[in-house]
Amino acid sequence: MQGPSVALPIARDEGLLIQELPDEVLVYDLESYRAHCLNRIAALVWRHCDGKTDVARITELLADELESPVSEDVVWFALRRLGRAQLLQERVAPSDEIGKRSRRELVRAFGLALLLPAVTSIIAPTAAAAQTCVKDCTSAPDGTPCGGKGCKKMCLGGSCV
Amino acid sequence: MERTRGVSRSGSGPNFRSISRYLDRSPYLGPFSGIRPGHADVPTCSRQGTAGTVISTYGIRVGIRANDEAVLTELSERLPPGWKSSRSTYVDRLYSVILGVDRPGSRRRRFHLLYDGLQRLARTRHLEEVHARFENSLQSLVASSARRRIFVHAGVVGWRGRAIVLPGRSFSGKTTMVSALLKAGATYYSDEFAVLDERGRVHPYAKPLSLRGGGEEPPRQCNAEAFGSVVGAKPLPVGLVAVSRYEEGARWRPRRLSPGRAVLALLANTVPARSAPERSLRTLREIIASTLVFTGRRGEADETVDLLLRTVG
Repeated sequence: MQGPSVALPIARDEGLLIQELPDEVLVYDLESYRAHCLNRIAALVWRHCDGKTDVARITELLADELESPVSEDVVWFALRRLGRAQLLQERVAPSDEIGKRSRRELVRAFGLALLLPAVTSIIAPTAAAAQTCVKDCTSAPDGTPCGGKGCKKMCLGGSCV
Repeated sequence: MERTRGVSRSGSGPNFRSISRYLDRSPYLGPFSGIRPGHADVPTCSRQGTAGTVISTYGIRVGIRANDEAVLTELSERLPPGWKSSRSTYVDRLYSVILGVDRPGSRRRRFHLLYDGLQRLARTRHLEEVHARFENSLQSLVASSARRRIFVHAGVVGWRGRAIVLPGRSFSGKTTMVSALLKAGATYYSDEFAVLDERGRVHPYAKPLSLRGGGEEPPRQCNAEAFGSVVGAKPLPVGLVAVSRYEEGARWRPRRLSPGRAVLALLANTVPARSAPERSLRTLREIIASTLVFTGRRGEADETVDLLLRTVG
């Protein structure tokens, strides 16, 4: 994937299995064997990534759909998460520091963790890996690296994936 | 899967008609009794006392052949639950067992060999190891390739007409939780796999529980009846999924997973997640549509069981 260059994000649509749930979207990447769960906000942002809509417009659309004011920071945060999950054709980056706020900074600024976009990802196990386990799993927060002895996997629900 | 023409027939002595006659034409599998020079990996055996059989398990046809008919009888105890004999002349996978027999007066020690096709799975003096490797290999094959089922690595019990599913890999404490639930009156379905159909119902996969004793001791097999329980017979809808991991001193304080995250938690333990992602996701969605999925650390199994059963109702 090329480095960040454009502010008209485009969602990937090839090599993906997409399944919609009432408030979430499941995406399985056939190329990288990763599965992602997008919460409602992340899914809405992703849906608007059509290559013609800029971040400001996505922010307006999101505010309309959520019936609540939304900051551009939130949209940039979502785009960074989506880019990291390789769900955009190209990663996008803000031109100033405001759009680069971390999740913690956003929560501190807006105090609404529930309204933040979230992309939870796992790597689908191989048939053999689905039957093995790391004994020293640290049960880290979902979607974060385990950090257990010799473990390079992510934790989800108390298991390494 | 590659298909190999085979013969479901046992025999002995020089009149043995084996799968090997057909395998002579296969580019992948060598003959059982005829050796191609230079093929070090091709199983060899004596023409005498060779036996074979074909079974069908979860839509997969498996050929098993050995140079000793008694081995087939022993291996039959290691087959997946619900297997059936088959008269098919084609197999999807072929296992070969060659018992090493020490000849009197010879210093040469012969090993027992186990092959999956041309791939050697075991070369050992201990027959038990051949049995164990065979069982593991076949189980992996079935779990990853079953045609109309999705296998999730999980313990499963039945409780008041619904299934409690405990996803987890090895060493996550599934069997301990299952045995505690059996003692509390649940019905045994499996301590290894949740076998799901397209409607999201769980079918029994009731092999004996494999209880680890700790240290270097091998696990011991234990039937459900030893816990005062019975084995389930019919498929059940899922009532609760509990993704937990043992932590000493912890108390089960579960948090509910959103439907999407619940699917991911189950997918992380789904054997054919990569080979059949669409079917896997579709099946898992069926489960979470009407099921509570919880995650959290848990303490001792007996304490956790009460809390679990109260959640199911």
